[in-house]
Order: sequence, then C-alpha cells, then structure tokens
Amino acid sequence: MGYEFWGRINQIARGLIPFLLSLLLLLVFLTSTGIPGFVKVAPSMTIISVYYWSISRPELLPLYSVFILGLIEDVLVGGPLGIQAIVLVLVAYTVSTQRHFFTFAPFGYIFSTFILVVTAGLGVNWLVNSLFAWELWDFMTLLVKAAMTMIFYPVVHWLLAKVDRTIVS
Amino acid sequence: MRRRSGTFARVTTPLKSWFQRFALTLMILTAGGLLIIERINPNATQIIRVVVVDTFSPVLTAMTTPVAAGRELYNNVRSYGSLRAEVLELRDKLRFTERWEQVARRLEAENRRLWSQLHVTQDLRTDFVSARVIRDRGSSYVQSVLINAGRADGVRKGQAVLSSYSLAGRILDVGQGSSRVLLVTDINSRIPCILERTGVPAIAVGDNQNGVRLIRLTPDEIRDISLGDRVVTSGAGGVFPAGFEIGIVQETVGDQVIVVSNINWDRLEFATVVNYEHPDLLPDSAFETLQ
Repeated sequence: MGYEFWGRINQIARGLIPFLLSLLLLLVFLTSTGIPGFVKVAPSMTIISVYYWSISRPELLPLYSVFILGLIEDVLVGGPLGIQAIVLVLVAYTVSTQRHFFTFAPFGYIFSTFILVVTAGLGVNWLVNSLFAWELWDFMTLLVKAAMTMIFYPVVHWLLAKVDRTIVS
Repeated sequence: MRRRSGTFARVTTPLKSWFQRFALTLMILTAGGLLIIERINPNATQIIRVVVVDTFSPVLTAMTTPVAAGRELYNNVRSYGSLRAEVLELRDKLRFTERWEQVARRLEAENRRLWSQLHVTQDLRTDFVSARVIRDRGSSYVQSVLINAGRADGVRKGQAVLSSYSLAGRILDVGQGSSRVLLVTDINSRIPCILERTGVPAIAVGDNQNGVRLIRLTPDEIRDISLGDRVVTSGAGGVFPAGFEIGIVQETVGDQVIVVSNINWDRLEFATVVNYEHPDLLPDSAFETLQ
C-alpha cells in the first residue's frame, strides 16, 4: 500500500514537471524587470517549452495542459483570451504528430525546425491580434521577438534536457 | 468494488478515446469561442481573468521583490558616482520649488476666497491606494500592467491610476488582491481631457507605444495648440477627477496631436489608485441600501 501510494505520487509529480516548468519559465519572463522595451521583445518561453516537450515527452504535456498554459499566458499578458492557447495547441499537435522525424535527430535539425515553428507560431499570434484589433501591428517587433526566442532556444533546450534526464533517472 | 470500477471504466474509456480523437478541434473551437465571446461582451470572460490573476499575483509579487531589490542596489551604486552633480541639481530644483511654493500658497488663498464667494462646494472626495507593479506592460499588442492591490484594498473597476503625479491609466479588472490597469497608451483607452491653456476639450487615445493622441479637435483648435501645452483630465463623465496631467503636447502633424506623458513606462514600479466619488453620483453603498 505504502509503496504503491508513494509510487503513484511520484508518478503524478513527474507528470506535472513539464507543465510546472513551462509555467515557471512563463512567470520568470513576465516578472517586472524594468529593462526598457524588454517585455515587447521578450522570448516566447511557452513556445520553446511546448516545442521541447512535444518532441521529448508529449505524454507528460498533453494537449489540455498546453491549452491551459496558453490561457494563463493570455490572461497574464492581458491579450485577447484564446490567442496563445490556439498557437500553443497547434504547435504541440503539429510537433507531436511529426515526432518520429525528430527521433535521434541532431540538435541542428531540431533547431532549424524550431525556427520554422516559432516563426509560424508568432506569425499566427500577430495575425489573430491584428484581426482582433482590426489594425496591423508593428511587424518589426514581431521579428525581434522571434529572433530573441531563437537565441534563447539552445540554452532553454539544454536546461529542459537536464530536467528531462532527471525525470528518467 | 471491482465491479464498480469496471462499470466506471466502461463509461469513461469511450469518453476518453472520443475526447482524445477530437481534442484538437475541441480546443481550437473553445479558444475561438472565447475570442468571439470576449469580442462581443468583454465582461463575459472577466471571471477567468480575475481568478487567474488572483492565483498568480502572489507568485509574481514574490518574484518581483528580488528583482526590485537588485534594481535598487544597482541604482544606488550608480548614483554614488554622480552624487555631487545630483546635489547641485537638487539645490537648483529646491530654489525653483520654493519660489513656486510661494506662488501656490498665494493662489490657494485666492482660490479659497473665490470659491467661498461663489458658494461652490468642493467636488473631490478622494483617497489613495499605493501598489507595486508586478507585471510589466503586456506585449506589443496590449498596454496594461498588473498591480498587487485589489478589492480587499478598496480598488474598484474604472478607478484612475496615477504614477509620477500623472495619469497612468484606469482599473480594468479587479481581483481580491490584484488588479489590471489599462494604460493611457493602450489603443483602447479613451480619456476625456482638456488642453489646460485653452480649455478646449478632446479625447486622449493611446497609440500602443509610449504616447497618446488627441482626437475630436477641429482644425482651428489644432492650430491654436502650442508645443508644451499641458493636457489634463476634464472630469467629464465623472469617472476621473478633473485636473490630472495626462502629458504635454510634443508635436502636431497635420490633424495628429501627439502628447507625451512624464511617466517612464519602462520603469513603472509603483502606482497609486485614486478612489474617487463624484458628489453628483450615488456611491455604491447608496445603491446597496436602495436594493
């Protein structure tokens, strides 16, 4: 009983790690830093995290978790409710269904695909926001944000991979 | 017991597989539905916003504290290098302020005398709530901040929010211990204002960057505007008290009047919520009594 119970708790805790880690990354980059202009071009941590876990362990970050994560981001950022939820769910679904392409793939391949995914994801976000406000938003900021997300990807990938290995062990 | 769990599994398994098959469609439809509902009625999704913000505001407050402490330390260290220059500048400012204090005292006395002669009652019943900004301005698409004061502190929807003695925005959503402030720079912000020098009324609209544009001005009124004119709240509509500075006119380009605030939007650390009750409008307690 005791062994089974703690085993189950351990399993649940492991299952929650990808979601909680994605949430933590989101909150860290949402915290008031006071760095001028940073918030506008801050990297999209949730796209990075969802991309990583959708390749590595989609079973630990199911679509409904991704959806909730997107809604939380929408609320905390103050944008229209549902936009980031759509983007993240699409990223998670697309990547996890094509997962076999990433098995044993080198980092360069994963990173190049990420460039496509982040461009498409932020592009969809920009488009829906523009439609919602019926005004074309600044495209340059979008490009800088995409570039920042790409720059941060290798570091966050390394960090998440470390946690990922801990989950296995 | 085993039979019960077996029955339960017989019911849940097809549901689970049905959900898994249509999960993507369901979620996209739900998110799309939320977008549309919010577009039609922004208050409909407010409960979700309030619950999420209230849940995460203690975490954001805790995370902001070390960042704020680090920033203060950095500013302190930096300011040691320029202490002498700062002292001289402050002395100059003090002399200037002292001159203005004399003028202000004289005007206050004169104003009080005139008010009493006209038998006009004062229209301000205000008190203030100070709060820390726990979330910077949204994204490229939204200009709002989160503050760690909410309903428990007396904050209510629509109240004016000040920073550096200027109008920063108004309360959009109120949770128990946190609130969202829609900044005057947001494209959806509309503030009734007047040009202080000429008394011409206008509406201040955010440009989603660092500025505000004035609309509802005739070409003649625009021609009368001088650079540096102060733009203040008019108090029209009874939402905001009159006389809060929105900014000063920076430039006029055609029919565009650009106003800049003296608030440093990138360094918005604290905000003051103004609890204002217009004497002509019944307070909330009066409505409760009537009901």
